[in-house]
Amino acid sequence: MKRTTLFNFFILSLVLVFTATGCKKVPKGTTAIPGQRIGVGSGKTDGIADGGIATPALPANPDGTIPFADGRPSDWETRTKNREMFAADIVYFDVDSASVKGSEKSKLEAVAAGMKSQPGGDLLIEGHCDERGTEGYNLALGDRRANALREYLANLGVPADKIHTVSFGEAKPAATGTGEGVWSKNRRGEFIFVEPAK
Amino acid sequence: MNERKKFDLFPFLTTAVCLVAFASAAAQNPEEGTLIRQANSAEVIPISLSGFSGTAQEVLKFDLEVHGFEVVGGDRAKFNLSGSNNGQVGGRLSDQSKTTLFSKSYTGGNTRSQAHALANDVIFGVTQRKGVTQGQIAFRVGEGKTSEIFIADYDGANAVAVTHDNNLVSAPAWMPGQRKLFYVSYKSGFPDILAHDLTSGARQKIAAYGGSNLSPAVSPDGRRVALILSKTGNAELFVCNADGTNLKQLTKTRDSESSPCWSPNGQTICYVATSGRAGLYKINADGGPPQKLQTAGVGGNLTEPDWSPDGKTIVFTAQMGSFNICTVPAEGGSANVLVDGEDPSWGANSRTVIFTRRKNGGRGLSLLDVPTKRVKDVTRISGSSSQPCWAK
Repeated sequence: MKRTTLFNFFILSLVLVFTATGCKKVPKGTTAIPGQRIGVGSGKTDGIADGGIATPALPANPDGTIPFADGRPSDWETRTKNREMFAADIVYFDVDSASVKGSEKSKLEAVAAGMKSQPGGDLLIEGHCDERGTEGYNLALGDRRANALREYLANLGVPADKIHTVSFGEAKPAATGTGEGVWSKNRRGEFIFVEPAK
Repeated sequence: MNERKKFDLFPFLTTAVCLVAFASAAAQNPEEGTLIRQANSAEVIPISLSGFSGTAQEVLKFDLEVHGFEVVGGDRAKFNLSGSNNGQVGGRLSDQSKTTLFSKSYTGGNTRSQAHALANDVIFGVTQRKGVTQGQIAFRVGEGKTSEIFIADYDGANAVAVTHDNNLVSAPAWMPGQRKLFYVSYKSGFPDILAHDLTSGARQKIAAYGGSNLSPAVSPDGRRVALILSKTGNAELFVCNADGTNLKQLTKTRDSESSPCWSPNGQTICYVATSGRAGLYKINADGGPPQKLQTAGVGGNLTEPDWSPDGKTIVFTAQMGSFNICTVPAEGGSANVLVDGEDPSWGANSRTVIFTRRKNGGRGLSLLDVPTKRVKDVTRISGSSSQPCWAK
């Protein structure tokens, strides 16, 4: 299993280096958003943590944080995003907090169980906020919420390299209006199952 | 020096200036008591306008009032600007004793740009401070579930959409001295940092690491970018070259870092770290221990710092129930609460601040004259405008 992961990573690295070399041929002035990689000038694969090859297993840092895999799945855009699978497991947060509340833990256990039953899939966690912060602050808060949920799931045994996050801050509220009844619905983490490539 | 550079680098000099009489000689050798010259005078300067109409009148009034003037009737005015906008804009600035301080007319551009040029000359003629009437801004416009980056004149005129992705964007940041913006785009499904050349339209991915890629801020020399990445599993402050290479992690904490900005000499980055409450910190741009910035007198979460081009003052948002625009000396100390609002950005004159205000369920941009605390609203376009950033 571990060997396979390492092998996959080796292949991925080769692909990245190949892509990097290819990128140099794209003429300047061409819009090159899809596929263009960052940091390719050195010829190294970009974004690898200082520890180098250790990335695939995503071991926790000494402080408990869990690094992300390098880059993102190349087939991300073509894979089906299933919002129904964990629709009942939306996790809610207290005001200005990214701590997972006791009342929400059973939902995370359900998500972890679901992920373990579908080993080919990935998980996308969306971090959301109510409107009572500045836009910049809320993007950071949504990121903290998503990371807290990711850490919790990884500690429940979901492979961390399968868990991706996105913070939308306050840009995608579940409910509109004002008042705690609305805001409490917007301070949330949502789980989207990303189905295996067909 | 920085300030001068910024003015020179962003010229809208379609307007040729003809000096007809007196020019700056009068301004340099003022009669005692004629000119108000304190560098940061909080005194509102009453001025009357006569002879202008339509766009020219509107632009002159707006520009002057943004810069600490108040347009009043002739009897209360300390200065008078008389002129016309028939064909071309021209004006004569005089003081209470009817002494002419200058008389100028303008060609090229259009009525709007000529009026901005005249307003800048009046501001400089009276206060010896440069105005920001010819500045440009970038900002985010949200409409429904999508948002786009726009650029416009500083008063909101001539607004143009820069992005057309029908997706989410955030946090535009201007590359100093260049027609280039950095911002966060969700086009890939994740927040990535893009650099967008406004001349060619070409876009380049600068950061697309696992986790969030947020809050790009370009260094004053345009060579480096400060950014927030959560690729380690937690939001941290990084710097990289302007093309995304040479990434270096500056913070390594269990806190969540956000909202970096640069000191004008490019040596220090001010940013936000959140552990419980969000506070302001400074760190050497090449690495080193973070230092908390003392902000006595304000509480709550402190966010969105921006360092003034003269290096002296950091403006930021304090979330204390509502949102307040505050300033603090760059070395730390007592903070001043100025007005309600959020997400401030300094103009090149280190005096005018553009920021966001919430109104009628949406957001709009406003301009603050820091010493007088006077606020003028920027022309609103449809949707919700926020995250303003001055072209540098």
